Amino acid sequence: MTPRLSLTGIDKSYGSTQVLHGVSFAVQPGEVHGLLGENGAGKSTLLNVLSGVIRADAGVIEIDGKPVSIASPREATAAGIAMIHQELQQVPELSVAQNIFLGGALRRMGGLLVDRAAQEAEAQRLLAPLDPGIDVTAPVRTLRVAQRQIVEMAKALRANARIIAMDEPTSSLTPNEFERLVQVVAKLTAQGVSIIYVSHKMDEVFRLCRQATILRDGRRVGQVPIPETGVRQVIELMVGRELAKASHHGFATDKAVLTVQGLSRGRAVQDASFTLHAGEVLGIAGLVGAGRTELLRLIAGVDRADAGRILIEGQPVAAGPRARIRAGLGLVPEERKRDGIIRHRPITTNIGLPAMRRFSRLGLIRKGMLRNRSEDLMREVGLRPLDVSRAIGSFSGGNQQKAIIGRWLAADTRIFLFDEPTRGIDVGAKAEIYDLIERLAREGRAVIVVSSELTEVIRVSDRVLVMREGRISATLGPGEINEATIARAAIPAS
Amino acid sequence: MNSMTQSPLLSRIKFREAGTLLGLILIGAVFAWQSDTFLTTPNIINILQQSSINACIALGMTLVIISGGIDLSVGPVAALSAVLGAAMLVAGVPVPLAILGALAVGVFCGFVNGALITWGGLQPFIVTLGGLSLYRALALIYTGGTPIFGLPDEFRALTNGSVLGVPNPVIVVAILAVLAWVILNKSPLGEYFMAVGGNPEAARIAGVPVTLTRQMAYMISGFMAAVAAMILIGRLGAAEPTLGTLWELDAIAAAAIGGASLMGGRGSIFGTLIGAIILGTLRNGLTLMNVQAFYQLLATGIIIIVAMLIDKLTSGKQG
Amino acid sequence: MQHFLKGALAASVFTLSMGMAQAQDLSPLNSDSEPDRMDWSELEAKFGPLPAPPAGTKVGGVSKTLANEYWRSLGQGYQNVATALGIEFVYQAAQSEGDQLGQLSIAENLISQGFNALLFSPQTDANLIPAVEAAAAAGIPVLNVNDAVIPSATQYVGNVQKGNGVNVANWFIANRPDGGKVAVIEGQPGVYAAGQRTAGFTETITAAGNFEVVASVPANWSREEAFNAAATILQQYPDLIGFYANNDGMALGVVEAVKAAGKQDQVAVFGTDGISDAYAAVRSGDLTGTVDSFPVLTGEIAMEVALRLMAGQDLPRVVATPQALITKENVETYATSDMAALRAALMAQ
Repeated sequence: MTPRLSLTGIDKSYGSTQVLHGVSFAVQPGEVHGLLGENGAGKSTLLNVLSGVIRADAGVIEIDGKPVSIASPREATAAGIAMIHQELQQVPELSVAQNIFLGGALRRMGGLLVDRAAQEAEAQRLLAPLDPGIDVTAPVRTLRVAQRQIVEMAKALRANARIIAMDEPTSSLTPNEFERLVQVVAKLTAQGVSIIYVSHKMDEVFRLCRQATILRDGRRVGQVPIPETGVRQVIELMVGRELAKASHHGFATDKAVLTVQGLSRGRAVQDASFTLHAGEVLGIAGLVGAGRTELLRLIAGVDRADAGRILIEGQPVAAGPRARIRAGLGLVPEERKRDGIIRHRPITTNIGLPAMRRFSRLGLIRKGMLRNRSEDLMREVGLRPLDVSRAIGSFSGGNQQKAIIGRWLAADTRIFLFDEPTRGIDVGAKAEIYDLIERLAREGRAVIVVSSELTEVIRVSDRVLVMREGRISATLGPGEINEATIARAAIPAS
Repeated sequence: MNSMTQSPLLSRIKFREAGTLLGLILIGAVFAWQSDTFLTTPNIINILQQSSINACIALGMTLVIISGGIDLSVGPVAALSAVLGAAMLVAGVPVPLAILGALAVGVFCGFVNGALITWGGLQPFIVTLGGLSLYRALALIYTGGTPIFGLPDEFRALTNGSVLGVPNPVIVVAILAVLAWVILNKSPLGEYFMAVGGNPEAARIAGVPVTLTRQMAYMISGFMAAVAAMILIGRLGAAEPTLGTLWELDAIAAAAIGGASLMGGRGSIFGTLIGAIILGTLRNGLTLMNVQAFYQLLATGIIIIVAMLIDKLTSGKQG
Repeated sequence: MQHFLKGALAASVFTLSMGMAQAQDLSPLNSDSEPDRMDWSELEAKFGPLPAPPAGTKVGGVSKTLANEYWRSLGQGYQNVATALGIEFVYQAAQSEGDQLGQLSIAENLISQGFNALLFSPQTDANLIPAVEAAAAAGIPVLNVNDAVIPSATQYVGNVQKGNGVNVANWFIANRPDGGKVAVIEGQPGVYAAGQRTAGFTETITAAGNFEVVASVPANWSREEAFNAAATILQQYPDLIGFYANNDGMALGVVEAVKAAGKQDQVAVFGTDGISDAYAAVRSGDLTGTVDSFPVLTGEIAMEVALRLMAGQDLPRVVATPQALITKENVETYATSDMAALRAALMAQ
């Protein structure tokens, strides 16, 4: 049978980093096909290639056996491909019908006026088989998330889509809403529409898909039939067969430096409690959206907790980043550009910001002192080039990360909070960051590392907390830390 | 110091400042060639004196812009401090006390602006646009719309005097400029201004007191507006509630010509000073050449746009 | 407030006289009530024909903004005399009416250029004071020409602001003997001319007994604001018989409101200034009348006064310039561009 869609030998690089290595992938008509992989495995890039957001460097895309060129989202739509993103791309204030016809309104009076009545009738017709309960004149913002997804599907149908890609469609759905989605997907496939289904949730994948393609590190690992292939086997394919060895030296003591008690914020973080010791590296694993970053921001005082408190060396600490920094905490954020660096300022001031008082006398900054200290620190961490008066924005991601670590070293921070410390950093610098984390532990500082890369968590951590849907679902001690134990605790049972 | 000149960032700013200065020299050369009186000492002092009020306002505006905000209310803040200060002077309050009082009015207005922006969470543009009407209204209501005349000579002597031929207002603004330069380039507060303007969220996570920093910027701007008001009423011998119309735009223009980025995070005290002097020089030179007002306006517009284009081209290099 | 201001004005006499030799013994100028004054028509009779200026005489003028026809016409008047007598004349204006510091810079820049006399029309009462003082120190005579009044001015040339309102009030008293309700559309609050014009009208018409000023609202010299204000007033007082607007722009806004309300026959509308649009509206009958203060002629007179001062004549502190109520009956007499004929007509008035 000719596949509805086939991608062959797709390559894609950003700069010197190759993110897709000759990926091939095929979907049959009326099939629900899972696309699985860890964060960073290349799923999003592949979907972006498919929907014309980015262009592949090499490779062929065929629809019904005919090669097609997809150079823009418009061409993707014309080729019958529709994307339903995790973050729905709708205009909340416009009606359901208006959103369905966004960018291709029905017109009357020679194209001068939008024919609202016709749009609403057509929207009604498209939605009837999917969810007749949706009022086509209601503003989209009044709908539930699940209904909004169905509106997106109606929009795809309206564009005569034959292939619909769904990126993590259930991340904000309740179990009941998921059942509704299953029914809608069944109706779509009955009409011959092919669905590409991207999700972390194994039970959903196993419920919906009959085939799954697994990516790892930008390569296709294989295509497996489901449910013939077991959950465990699928996860092993996703994370890699060779189990990462923890080439790890422990420096953990039993001296508690940070105690977190019942920390909560909305649904994102619920009742988190744990203790961190001097010299310890505590990994926090979990899926995207499990609440790891949120927990770290609560500890750092960047967000305000609804409940709970933190103690540092037995003393309660006030809210707000400044109080937390004074108490010895320092956050190395995931989004360096947004939350970490002051782009136009030199390395020196980016390092000196939390500790300006230390580098000042009589209200004036001692520039020479700041410069010498920065240079010493940056020499230690291996900043390249070692020019601390250059704007931080002109350095690579890895070097920026070294400067942010240097910032907290300069402030004598005792508790380092890393959020995805190697995100966007090339392989060489990764190892240097790991060495730095180990050095911090050796010096008796306490470290928390949030990471989506299991190998990373396993490599650096003495203990691992696993988070699932806002809660700490497991605490893994030495000897218990491996991909399987982490994955089991991370993946929701639904 | 010499090692710092090697850094691309600092040399870029210096390059930008040098560019502004070069612009001033070019404009000056054209006028000197066209008019005999232009390059005389009295005329140059004239230019400095005429630029001093805009420069004073623009210094505060530069700090606000660098911290990522904007202060549209400077003119009316100046008017309010002017009429309240003048009322105190006329009522016989000792001159130093009355001046302190007027400056306090400016700082207080800046505090109100800053509080609405930081604690109220409102946008700087909107808050100070409201202030633009609010403070003007207070000044008009207080005076009933009529000027306050009769400021004591003791007070007027402060602004009308000179030291070695340099008028006191020029000296005052020069001192304030040095102070502003020290704050921006040598003090933690200056780093905070640039950090908050460059990336407020990153600054907050790095432990910068963001609220206080913003608050300070608006209070300094209010202070500068009050100083400008004192200089002006000293020169006029009267305080008018309508004083300070369009000062905000002149100040923004001076800061922008001097290299301040309205996106925040970048700007230069020296550049702003030169920017203010460029605007003053244009006005002076074009008047000497007897160019009609409409063309003066045209020239001002062209200079601002050219400065921005040069800015764009040079910052593009940094990538 | 009134008391406070009086105190302030009194104090200013004291302080201003300290610093300025020229301003000695001068009370703060009120151009309408200053006793040391004369009418323009008496100039020639009392001081003889205009003395010829010495060769190389240079006169500078600074006015509010050239975006306003009035100030362009005034400059035209200055230029007329300058051209006729072969004097070098430079005319500058600020970029807009709000540009107080800009006007001060321009005035200061002119002082350094060796002019023999300067004609200033300041934006506000105070904004040109430093230039006036600098000119005094440099020994350059300064004339304050219309309409903001510099309290320390030694020489003022301009019309009697109050007279504008009085002229209009007298028309109502003469032509609407039954009296009725009238309204005033004021200019910018706090501006001397606006206050005096309103006061002249209100005081005169109220004194007649059978008139009532039911509304007096500021429209800030804006035609649009005047239109809105007039529309509101007409709605509130359907039996209104007349409007007086502090300038012609606002009066033309009022005319539109009156037309929109269909009350052209009932409501008389007057403006002030005599701009060309107003003349056209008077001819067509839309505007009942305007008080023309003849800006071109005012400019000529001001320049003549400057030349007389340079020749050493000891003129009174205020020289009042002509004004006349223009209605459909006399509009053609005054709508002449021949200044000699206009002078004759006004002399005969």
